[in-house]
Amino acid sequence: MANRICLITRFIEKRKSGFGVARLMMMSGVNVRAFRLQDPETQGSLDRVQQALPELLSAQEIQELERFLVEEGR
Amino acid sequence: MTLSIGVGVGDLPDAGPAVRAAVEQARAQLGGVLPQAAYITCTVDYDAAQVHAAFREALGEVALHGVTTSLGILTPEGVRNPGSGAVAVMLLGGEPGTAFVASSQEADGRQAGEAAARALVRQAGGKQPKLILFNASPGLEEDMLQGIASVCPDVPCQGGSAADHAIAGQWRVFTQEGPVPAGLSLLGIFGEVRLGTSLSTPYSATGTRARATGTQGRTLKTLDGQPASEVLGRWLEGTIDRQVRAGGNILAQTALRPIAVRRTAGLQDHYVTVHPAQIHAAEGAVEVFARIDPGDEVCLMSGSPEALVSEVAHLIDSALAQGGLTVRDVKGAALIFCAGCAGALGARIDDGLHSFQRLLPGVPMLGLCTFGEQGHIPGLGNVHQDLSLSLTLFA
Repeated sequence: MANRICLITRFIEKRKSGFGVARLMMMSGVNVRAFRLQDPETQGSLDRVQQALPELLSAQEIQELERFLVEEGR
Repeated sequence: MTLSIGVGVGDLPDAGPAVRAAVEQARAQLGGVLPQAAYITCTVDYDAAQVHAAFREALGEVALHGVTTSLGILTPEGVRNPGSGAVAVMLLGGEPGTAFVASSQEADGRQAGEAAARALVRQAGGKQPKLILFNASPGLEEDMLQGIASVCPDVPCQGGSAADHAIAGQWRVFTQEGPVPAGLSLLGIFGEVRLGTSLSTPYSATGTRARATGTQGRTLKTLDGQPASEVLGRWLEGTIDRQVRAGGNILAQTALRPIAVRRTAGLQDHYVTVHPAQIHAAEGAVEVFARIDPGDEVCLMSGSPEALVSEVAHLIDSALAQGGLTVRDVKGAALIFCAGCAGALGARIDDGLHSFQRLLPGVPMLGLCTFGEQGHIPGLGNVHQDLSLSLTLFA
């Protein structure tokens, strides 16, 4: 299964540019760019990233992200 | 003695070409005037040593000074950070003696401030600077400012603290010799140059307040004798309950509702805004980005995204008024924007930055997002605070 922090970072970068990814790092305290697609999941970091998402994305964008994670995470 | 200012921004994927592009743009704006010093910055997406080396190669013996920026580079058109990073430079041109840089890596903040300020004054043949651009690693800024004041009393300091994206200590201070993780760099402006400065914060004091009863440097332990995290949790009405229970980052939740320490500046109150960053649940302590001393009155502040956006125009007006400048006088601007404020605003920060296009059209502007801001408050002197905007206009 693909690393979800890496997928979330890709989604944010596409929607919100590098500035959005930098905001995600600030809000979560996680260096999300250090994660690669094949890396094993790090639950603590993933929790922090997920908790930061409502500060960056609207409810609709979070739903779109969830669909993206399902499609790309297979 | 007049200053010429040029600003350039580069965001190519590799540091070398990005720096060369930025320097080329900045040089073109100097109109043939020789640069005396360079105020440099980059995001931590690049290797700071490579960035410094590229600036050194592009600028030869020009004095280098600066810090890394969080989030991106601020420009009148908006934030620049395509993902691979961004660099920027402000070149200060003029006659020899217009600008000098000095730095210190002394572990004691006051000694670092004194040493760097002495080195500046020494280079200027004993003259006091008109203004000091102050940039340091986060942690000891209050002490550093005190050290500077002992050597350069009454000289205004304007600046911001080094920053990264993830608050992971990846920030760097750019000194003449190279980038360092901890230290202080000063850029002194000398001679009869005209300047306008402003430090502002778009928050209002609420009636909610308490006395700091337990503090240690930048850790707030107790308020009115109770664990600081619990008091802050009540003030913020449930929005940080999870962090109060289990610990964690509260930057986002407190960006629009920070705390402040009330100081008296002449006949007026000045609120030194402080950004609560992290809760340590076991101790009930709150880590903050500016010092709070035992006995300080701490109050809850309140702000809004709209106030943050409109503060940029107010900041420009205030700096023009402070320096007795008209728009036509202004040759360049250095903007320091709290990274916490910028992070809270998101894309709306561009609306605030567009105020530069509207109010100072065509003026080259260098903008950084920092983890602490410094500026001069009449009646109080140079202060370090958070969630603030600091602007220097060069005429």
